[in-house]
Amino acid sequence: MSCFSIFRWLNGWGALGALLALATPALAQAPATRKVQVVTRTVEQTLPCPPGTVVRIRADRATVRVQGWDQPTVRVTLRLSARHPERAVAEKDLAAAQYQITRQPEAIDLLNYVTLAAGAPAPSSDLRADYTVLMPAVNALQVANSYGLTQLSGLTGRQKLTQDFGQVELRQLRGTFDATVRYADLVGTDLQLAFTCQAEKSALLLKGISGGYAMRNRYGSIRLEPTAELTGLLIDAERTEISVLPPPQAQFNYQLTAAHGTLNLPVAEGSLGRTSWQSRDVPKRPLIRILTTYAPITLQTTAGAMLSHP
Amino acid sequence: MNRLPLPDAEAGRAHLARALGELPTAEPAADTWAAIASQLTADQAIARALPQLPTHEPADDTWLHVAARLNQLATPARLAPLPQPPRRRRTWQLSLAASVLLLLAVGLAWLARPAHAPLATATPPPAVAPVAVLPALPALPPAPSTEPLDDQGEAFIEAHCSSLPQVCQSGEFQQLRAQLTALQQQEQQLRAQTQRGASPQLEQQQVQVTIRKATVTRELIHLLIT
Repeated sequence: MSCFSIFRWLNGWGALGALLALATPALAQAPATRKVQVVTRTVEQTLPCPPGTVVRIRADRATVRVQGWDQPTVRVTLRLSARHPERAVAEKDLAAAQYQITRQPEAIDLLNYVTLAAGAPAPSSDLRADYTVLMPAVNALQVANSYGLTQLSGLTGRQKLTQDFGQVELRQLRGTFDATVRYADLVGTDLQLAFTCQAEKSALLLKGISGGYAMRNRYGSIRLEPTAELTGLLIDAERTEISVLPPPQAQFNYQLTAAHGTLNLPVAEGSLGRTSWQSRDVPKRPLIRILTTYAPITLQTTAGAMLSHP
Repeated sequence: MNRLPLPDAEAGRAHLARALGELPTAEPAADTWAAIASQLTADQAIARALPQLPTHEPADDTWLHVAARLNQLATPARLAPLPQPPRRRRTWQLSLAASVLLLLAVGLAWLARPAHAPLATATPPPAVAPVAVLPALPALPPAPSTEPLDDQGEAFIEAHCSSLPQVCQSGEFQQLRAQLTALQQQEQQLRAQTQRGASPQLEQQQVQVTIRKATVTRELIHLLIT
């Protein structure tokens, strides 16, 4: 987008009633350093969101909170902020922080970005965006975020997430979820999904999960605490530590392989020295199939009885 | 990302042949083939029979009748014996209800079979398929690209220390940064050792250091963005 078109677009959105709020200076932690000045601008908007409309959020250095509700509308609250020790610098840089809220025939697009005049230096302030979005729970959602926190809850449709650096928190999700995360900490609780995830150098922690799960990770960790309603689990990982804590009464078929790694199994399974283990195949039980390399796989029992390898 | 020199396939052939020759041999248990054959026969028989099975929808009031009969069974036994003809009719109706229940249970169990089972490709009849069926086990996503993000993360940390000096000067941040530097040095040392001669133990150590380095990088960025 050229500078001209950005300014023309800005004029178009100028009537949105953007609020300019000069926030109080944040408390500094170290007395020897100067306090950080925080300057913010907030926008609120409500858009109709009929069934079939996909909500797309392209966020940069943002906190994105999306929650499903039963209204046929999307309510967006977007706060842009600049943080810098000098207030004048923060105010000047905040002008470079921009956003778009647009409605297409079949999509609602939300995005934030930074505009710079030709030859101008990059803003020295820490520019951030904070999205709070309420949307129809059943509608599809696509989120891309980097260097920030993404929280999704109460959604039941098709959800897609791309996250580079930062945190992801998933809560009470149903439907399908497809994620690509790099350098991220992903935590999920109470999920009933068809879940796929492609991860890199990320830590995945999923608790109280049911449905089907397929994931990859490289140079990271995966910890899963499934419910008895897990219908299948497939992990194809490289150089990734994996642990699974199944519920006491759950019965699964297991195929575990830690090539050049170690297997830590409940004592009864006698895993000493093994890198591969397959449970007796019982028809109709869901399959838990895990592969990793150069790292351990740990299958825990609630009693905590473990075999450990050097 | 790949730090190991690529092995020469021709040069390693002799070692591979020798190692394969030295592998211990083990005979399967005597009944293994019989078990596999019977499993395959059963699977094939089910696969053949499945398309020919008739489909039946239970009447709308089936469950009401079944529930009513169950309620009757649950009531205390009467002192006076019931007349004979109604008893015979009830037995016949209960048999029908049990048959319907059995058919339903078999049908549901069939639909709930795990996706890895050999016959999972058979599609359920649309008449009984729920509106939104999620796959028992979704397909794996494609393997991730190898684009390194390490430099991006470190550049982000450097750039933000100018706008957020109070974070970068905090004890926690400094401690994590020192850890990152130590891990980077450790990684370089392990890389040099690997070049002199790789081993699974060395690779495991390298993996541990790389995982720890990624974790510390994530923690540093977390401090800067919260």
